Amino acid sequence: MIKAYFFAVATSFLIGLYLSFYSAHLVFLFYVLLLQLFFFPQNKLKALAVLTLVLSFMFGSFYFKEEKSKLPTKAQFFGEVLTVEPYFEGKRVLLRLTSGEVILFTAYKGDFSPGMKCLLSLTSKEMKEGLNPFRPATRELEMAQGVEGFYEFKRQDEAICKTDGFNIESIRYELFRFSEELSGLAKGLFQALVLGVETQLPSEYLEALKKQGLYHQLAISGFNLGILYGILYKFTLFWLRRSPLVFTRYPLQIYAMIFSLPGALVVLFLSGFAGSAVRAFFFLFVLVLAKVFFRNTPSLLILLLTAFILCLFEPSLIGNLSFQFSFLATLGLLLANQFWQRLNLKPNNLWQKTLFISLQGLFVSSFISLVLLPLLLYRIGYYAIATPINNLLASAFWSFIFIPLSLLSALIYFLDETIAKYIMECVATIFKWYMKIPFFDWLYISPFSVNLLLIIFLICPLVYFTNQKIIQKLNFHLSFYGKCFPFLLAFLFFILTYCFFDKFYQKIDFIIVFKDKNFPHILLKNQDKFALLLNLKSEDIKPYKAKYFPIYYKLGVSSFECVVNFSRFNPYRVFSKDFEVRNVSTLEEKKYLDIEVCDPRMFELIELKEGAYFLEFKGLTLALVFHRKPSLPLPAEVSILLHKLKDMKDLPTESIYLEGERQSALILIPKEKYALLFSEKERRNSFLAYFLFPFVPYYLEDNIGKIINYHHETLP
Amino acid sequence: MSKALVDVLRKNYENLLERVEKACLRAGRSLEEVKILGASKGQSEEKIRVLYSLGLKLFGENYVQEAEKKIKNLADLDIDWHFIGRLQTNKAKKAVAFFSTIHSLDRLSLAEELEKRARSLNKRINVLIEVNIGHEPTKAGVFEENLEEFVKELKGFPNLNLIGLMCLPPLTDDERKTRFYFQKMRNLFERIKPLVGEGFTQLSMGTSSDFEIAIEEGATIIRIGTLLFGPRM
Repeated sequence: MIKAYFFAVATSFLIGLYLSFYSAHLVFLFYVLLLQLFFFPQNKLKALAVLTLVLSFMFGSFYFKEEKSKLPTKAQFFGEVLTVEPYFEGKRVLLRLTSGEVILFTAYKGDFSPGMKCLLSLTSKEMKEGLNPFRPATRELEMAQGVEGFYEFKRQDEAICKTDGFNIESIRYELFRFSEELSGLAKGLFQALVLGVETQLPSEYLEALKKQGLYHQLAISGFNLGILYGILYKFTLFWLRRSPLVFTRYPLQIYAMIFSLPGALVVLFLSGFAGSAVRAFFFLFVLVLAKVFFRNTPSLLILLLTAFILCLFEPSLIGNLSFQFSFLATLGLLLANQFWQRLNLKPNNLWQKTLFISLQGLFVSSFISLVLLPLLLYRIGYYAIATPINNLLASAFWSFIFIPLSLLSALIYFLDETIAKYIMECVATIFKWYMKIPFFDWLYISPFSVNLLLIIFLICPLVYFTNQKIIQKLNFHLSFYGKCFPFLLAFLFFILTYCFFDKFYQKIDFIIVFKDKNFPHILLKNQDKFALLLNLKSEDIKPYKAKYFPIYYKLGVSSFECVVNFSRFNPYRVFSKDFEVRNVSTLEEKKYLDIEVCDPRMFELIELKEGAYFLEFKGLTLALVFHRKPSLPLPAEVSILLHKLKDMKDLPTESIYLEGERQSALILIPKEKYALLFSEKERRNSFLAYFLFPFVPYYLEDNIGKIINYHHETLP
Repeated sequence: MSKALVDVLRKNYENLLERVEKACLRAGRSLEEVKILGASKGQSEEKIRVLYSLGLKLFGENYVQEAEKKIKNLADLDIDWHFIGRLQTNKAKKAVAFFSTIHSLDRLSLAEELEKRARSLNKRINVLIEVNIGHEPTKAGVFEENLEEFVKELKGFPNLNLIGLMCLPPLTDDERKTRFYFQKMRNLFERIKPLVGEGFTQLSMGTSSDFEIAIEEGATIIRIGTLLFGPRM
C-alpha cells in the first residue's frame, strides 16, 4: 500500500513540476487532474495525487517564474573554467563566476582548460536569438541547462587566464586532447561515446543515425553506463563463482552488483559527470541498494524515486531534454518488460528461445518508441519509424563493439597512447563497415503543425478513459473484444481528427519572417506548398540546419516547392537530404534574379533595382530588401528590410527590420480582404493561438494581430 | 520525363554536390568559390530543365549547331551558356551570339574573329585561354611557354574580356600526374594574373574523372558531364 501512495505522490509531483516549467495553462492542469481521477481507483489515492499535483504545480510556478538573467549582456567576467568541450569549430566552456553563477560560453579562439581562472570579456547570445515558433526561448534553455546565461567569446576580445593547481576535470580534458589527434571518424566516435560530445562526428554519419532512429546510441547516457555495468557484472560474477565467497550465504549476484559499481563510476567520470550519466548512475545505485536491503522493490518505483529525488534537489532538471528522454525511455523499458513477463512465454528449445528474445527486444523497443513519440515530435519534429527494428539489428554493434572498445581505448590511453589510438582507429574502421548496413531510414513528419498533433494525442486518452468509465458505470459485462471498445473508439477519434486537421491545414496560407541576425529568412505556405526565401552562405550551413530544420518539420514541411537563395551559394544539398526540393534558385553574380523562380501561383518575385524585390503573395505585396543601401520608394503593404534606414522615403507603415533588437519571428496571415500581422510572442500569449495555430487566427481570429489592409498601387 | 529519370538526376546532382563539398573542405575553400558547369553535350533539354530547377544555372556546350537549338528551346530559362569545345573560326559569329563565355580560345586567328563578331553585335564576350598543359599534339591549346605573349596580344581586343584559363590535362589513371598538371595550371594562373588585372579570376579545370583534385588545386569552374547527366544519348 505504501508503494501505491508513493507512486501517486511521485508521479503527481513530476507531472505538476513539468506543467509548471512550461508555464502550462490552468486548462492543462485541469486536464491532467481529470486524467488522474480516472487513473487512481481509490479515493485516498485520488486525493493525495490531486493535492500533490496542485502543490507541485504551485511550487514550480513560483520556482520557474521567468526572470531575465541578472547578469549583464556584455561585460568582463572573472571565474573558474569548469569544463571545456568541442563545439562545431570552436569550444564550449562552462565558467563559474566568483559570484557563484554558472555561465556557458562559446569560443573560437583561446586555449581554455579546466581549472583555469580567467578574466575575459563576453557578449550575451541573447541578442542574436529570436523567439521562433516551436523553439524554446533562450531563458527556458538556460534554466534547463542550469546556467545563468549563454555567452560568446568574440574573436576580437582578449582573455587573461592562469592555471590554478590540479583539477580533476583536466584528466578528462587530457582525453579531449588525445581525441584531437585521431582521424575524423575515430575522433567523433571517441568524443561521443566516451566524453559525451556527439557533435564532432562527420555530418553524413550523424544524419544517417538520426534518420535510422539510432542517434541515442551515440549520446552518452544510461545506455553506455548500463552496457559497461552489465559486462562488468557478468565478469565479476564469473570470478566470484570461483572465489571463497561462494561459501557465504549471501547471494553472489548481490556481491557482483556491488563490486561492479566502481566500473560505472569510471564512465561517469569520463563523461564529465554529464547529467544523463549521473542520473543513470544514481538509478543504478538506488537499484543496487534496493536489491541489497529490500529485494522485492519494483524497478518502476526505483525509477520514480530516482526522478523524484533528483527533481526535488534540482527542480529545473524537469525541463532538461536529456532528462525527459532518459526518464521516459527507462519508464517505457520497465513497463514493456512488465507486460512481456505477464505473457509468461516459456521456450521449449533453442530456436524458440532465440525467437522469443528477438520478439521481446522488438516489443520493448517498439514500446519505448511509442512512449517517446509525442516528446520526439514536439522536440525534434520527426520520428524515425524503423527505430525498433534498427535498434534490434544495431544494438549488438554498439553494446559489444563500439561502446566497450571506445571506453577501453580511453583507459588504455593513460598507459599507452599508441595502443589507445590503434584501438580507436579499428573502431572507426568497423564503424565505416557498419554504416554500410542498409538500415531502414523512414521518417514520419506530421503533415500539419506539431501542436495540432499533440492536441490529438492529449484528447485520445480522455476519450479512452471516458468511454471506459461509461461502460463501468453502466455495468456492462463485456467480453474481451467488447473491452477493446474504448480503445477502438479512441483510435477512431484519432484517425478522424487527424484527417480533419490535415485537410484544414492544407487550406491555410501564411508567411513567417524569421528575424534571425545570422540567417534572416522567410517561410511561405501557400495551401499545401512551402517555399523559402533566404540569404544563406556555405559557412552557415551547420548552425542554420541545427536551428531551423526542426522548426520546419514541426510546421509540417516535408517538401519545398522552391528555395530562393539571395546569394551565390546553391543550397540544394543543404535541403535535399531532409526535404524534397522541387526548385532552387540562386542569385548569380552580376545577374538579376529570374522572376519565375517558382510556380507563379505560389508567389511572384519581382526584382527592382539595387537589391530590392517585390514579393506578391495572395494579394499581399511585400517589399524585400536584403541589401544595405536601397534608395527606392517601396509602395508595398509591408516591407521587410535588413535594418532600419534613415533616408528611406515612402516606406509602408508596417516595416519589419531583420537586424533589429531581439524580437520574435513575425507571422503574416493573408486573408481575402486584409492580412493579419502578429509576432511569435503575441501568439504565445494567446491561449487559442498557442494551441491551435494556425487554425487560430486563420479560421478564428481571437483578436490577435494587427490588420493590414491591401492597397494595390501602381508599381514604380 | 519519367519520375525515375528525374530521381536519378537529382541523386547524381546531390552526390556531386557532396563530393564538391568534401573537396572544398579538404582544400579549405568555401563552396561559393567553385562553380559547377553542366557539360550538356549530347544531353536532352529535359535533363537540362531538371538540373536547372535544382539550381544549376551554368551549362556548357561543345558544338555550336547542337547548342543553337537547345539555347533557343530553353530561352525561357535564365541559363548562363558557356562554350567549352573546340571552336572553328567560321562558327565564331554564332558562338558570340549564343554564349556568354568561350572556354577554348587557343589561337590568335580565333581571337580576331571573335573580336570582329563581338564588335558587330556590340557585345563584350568573356573568354578563357585554353592551355595545352601536357604538350599533346592531338589537343588544341596554347603552350605554357607562349602564354604570356598570347595574353599580351589579347590586350588589343577590347571586346574580348579575358577572365581566366582552361585546360584538359592528359588522360591518365595516375592521380599524382593529374595533380601535377593542375598545380602547373594554378602556377600559370598566378603568373598571368598580374598581367591581366582584377577580372582574371577563373580557372576552368577538372571533369567528372578528376574534379576533386582540380578543386583541391584551385579550380573555380569544374566541367561535369557524365557524373551529372549519366551517359550521353
